[in-house]
Amino acid sequence: MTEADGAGRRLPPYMRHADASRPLPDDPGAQAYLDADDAPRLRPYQMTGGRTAPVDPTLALEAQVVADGAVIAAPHALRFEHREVVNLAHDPVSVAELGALLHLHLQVVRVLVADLAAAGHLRVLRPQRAAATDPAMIERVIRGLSAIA
Amino acid sequence: MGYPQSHEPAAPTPIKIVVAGGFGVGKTTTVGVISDTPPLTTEAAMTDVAAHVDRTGDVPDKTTTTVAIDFGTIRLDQGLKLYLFGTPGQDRFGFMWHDICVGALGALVIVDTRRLDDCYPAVDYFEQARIPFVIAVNLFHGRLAHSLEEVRWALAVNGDTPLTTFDARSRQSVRDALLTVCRHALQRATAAA
Repeated sequence: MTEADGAGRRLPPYMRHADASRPLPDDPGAQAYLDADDAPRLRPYQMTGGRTAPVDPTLALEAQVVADGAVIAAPHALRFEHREVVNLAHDPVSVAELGALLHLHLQVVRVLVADLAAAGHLRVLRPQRAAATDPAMIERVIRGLSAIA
Repeated sequence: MGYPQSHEPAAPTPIKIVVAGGFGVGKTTTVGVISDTPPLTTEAAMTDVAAHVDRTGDVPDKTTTTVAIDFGTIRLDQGLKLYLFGTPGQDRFGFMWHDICVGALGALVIVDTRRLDDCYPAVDYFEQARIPFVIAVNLFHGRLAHSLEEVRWALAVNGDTPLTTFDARSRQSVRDALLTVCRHALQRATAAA
């Protein structure tokens, strides 16, 4: 895995907005673009202003995040990388899935999610720690797994 | 469980099972064969601990090292989603385990009997963290190189820890191995209640 594409293109954040070849996230081609191996890669912490500690360091990998209705209606007020997170979080999605879909380091996703949550644009649903030791919950998992053919 | 106040779609309750074991033991195969979607990979960055280990002299471009976490998801019912997280195979990424394992229902420790000691770090970790775990011997080519009792002896796990065999390439087999983890966790949870 490389951080730059074949042409060695490595775009600083202020260039990303100016890159006309890069489709906006609401473009139908955006997902394919994000999936492509030659998508320009940033150094991860350029997107977080150099911070590696999320505003909320306890944000679990499986925590679910969902975008607020108001920000879904007006995503263009956001910075590009925040907009990408919001666009993937119309329906609830986990922090880990965001990292995978955006090709971002987990810590970067945590910083972005924590920023958006602090601004009220995302709602974070923390996993209930007690669920993993709750017999009723474990029985429910067993029922669900047993149904897999 | 309450409903969100607004019109936002309700989020599923996430439940987590960790899939651990040595490098190349079949963790990704295990996750992939039962996941609803092809396994995803998220990258976690090196911390300062590893930064020290990984310092490679005067290579100015080398600012981060990444470790991949493979994971899959299974929608178990309308409101319940199971996450299967694979631990990074190498020992030196052990510092990440807490992040992956905290709050897990249980763990499946995959073992290749030809390289038994590869799973020691995982066994140590789950014993210490008191996370219910099951030892699952991946039957490469359908053969068991040692009996399960020999494996139990070699790993020095106590008699309560379930040992099983499975085939990481078979969906039903992986399902059954995960069910063994759940039943073990249930036993532990009911005993504690």
